[in-house]
Amino acid sequence: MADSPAMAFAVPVPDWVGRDPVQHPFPLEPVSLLADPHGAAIVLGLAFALAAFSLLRCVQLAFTRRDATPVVLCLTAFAAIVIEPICDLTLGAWFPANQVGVIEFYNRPIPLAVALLYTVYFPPTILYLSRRFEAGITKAQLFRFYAATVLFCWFFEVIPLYWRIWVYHSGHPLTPLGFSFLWGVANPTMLVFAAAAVYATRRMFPRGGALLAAITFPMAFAGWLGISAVAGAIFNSPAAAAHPELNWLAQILLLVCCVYLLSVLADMLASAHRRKVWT
Amino acid sequence: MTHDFQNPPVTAVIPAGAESTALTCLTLLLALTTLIVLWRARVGMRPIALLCIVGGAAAVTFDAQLNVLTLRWFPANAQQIVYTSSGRTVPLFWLCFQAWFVGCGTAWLIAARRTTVQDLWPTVWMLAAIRLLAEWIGVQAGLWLYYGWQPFCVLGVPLWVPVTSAVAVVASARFVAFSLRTHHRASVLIGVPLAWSIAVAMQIWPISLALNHRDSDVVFASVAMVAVFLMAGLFVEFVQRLSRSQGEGVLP
Repeated sequence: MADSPAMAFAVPVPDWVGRDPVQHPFPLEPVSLLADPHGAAIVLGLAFALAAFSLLRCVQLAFTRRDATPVVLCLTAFAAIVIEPICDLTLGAWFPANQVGVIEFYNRPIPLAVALLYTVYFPPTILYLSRRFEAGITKAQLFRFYAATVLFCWFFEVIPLYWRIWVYHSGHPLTPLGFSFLWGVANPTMLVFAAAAVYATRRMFPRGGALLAAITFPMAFAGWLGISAVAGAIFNSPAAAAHPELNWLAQILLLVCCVYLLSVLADMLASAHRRKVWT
Repeated sequence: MTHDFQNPPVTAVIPAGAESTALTCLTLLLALTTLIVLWRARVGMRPIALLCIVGGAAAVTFDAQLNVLTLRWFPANAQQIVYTSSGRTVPLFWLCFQAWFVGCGTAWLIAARRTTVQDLWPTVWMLAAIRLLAEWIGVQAGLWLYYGWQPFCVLGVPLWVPVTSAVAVVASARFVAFSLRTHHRASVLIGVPLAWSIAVAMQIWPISLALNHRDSDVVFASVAMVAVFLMAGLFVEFVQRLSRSQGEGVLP
């Protein structure tokens, strides 16, 4: 761990120079960076406890509602960790390798703690948002929820970033306390998008049951790549490597895309609710 | 050095004259299709149709990353480049191609159709067939190629490519058509590339994971492709039911 709190969030920026961009098309990760083993153990323990609580709550909800969707969402959220490495590659996030790993794609280990945290982050939020969608949500309410989630992510990530459970590297423009607002803007958008997709699919295919939620959620999760497509194009360009200030453009464009997507989603949900097409 | 992507065929080259021929042909095709779309569109929809085509061209921003993730390669000797990102160059003719396929496709579905379509599947099959034909021509001409364990390749074109692209155009058209009710028409410039990129990303992730996994083989990749087809089918059914449930036909 770093000597002082001020240095704790400083991530060495990997060198772009010398890499072969064809074989290594995305920014090089700080592979030598190590997580704080003590902190990693604490986070893993907390993640286990929270995931167990989340799963139990989902099981309880499933019995209460006589609908397996909450449990399926919980399990799917855990399995959706396979998509995480693709997102990490394109916008420069890295999990130091000295943690209990769960899966490896693109030659990138993803710690078990993150997969467990998925089961805490996604299912409750999707179930909560589904209830709000059911009751009718306004655009203002959706944006308030979005802003709150951005702030929550920022505050929540302070701890894992401090212990370097994960880090953001290579030219992120806005990184207070190590948190990347490139990710901070895109993640909650994907969360709302996933919730809307799962909710709408359940409504569109009433006989599809929980199985469709299991298919829809990872699809919507992968939509993250599309949401951040423009930002990724800039972030991974040689021009941005030479002039990191260009990444501010990526940040602004990403924000515009997210706000626009949420605005249309809110209109779609409001329209469906108004027309009572799903009831 | 941790990335574990399959190495692209860096020695591949675009045959002499093919790039300029492709650029000329695609520009003419784009111009012709644009004229047809504008001619068929209602007067009030013509600016929107033009914006859709520009937005379709902007969809090219996703292609460099897409090329890495799905193992498509534009030979490095292309002379006219739009941009370079993720270690991949995107040539100018691909911009025309995207403006034609994504832009004109979306514009056609939004602005030029005069009948209400109650079934999206014929539209998807038609777009997929057009895309497949265009891909065959491009691959056979050596303008781009697919490498790695690509399953179900026909004449060098994996079948998931036309299917996912066609579905993404339909999804993009539906998304933009809806957004036009409440948003300014200029939002089309963001809406088309955003919706297209999201729709493609939602479908291609299994094949991307399979193609880039170190233990990947034909069986793994084939299973992933079946998953892609299932997701594409679900996507179309979803869009169709969403449109029908709102009582407005599939497309405006």
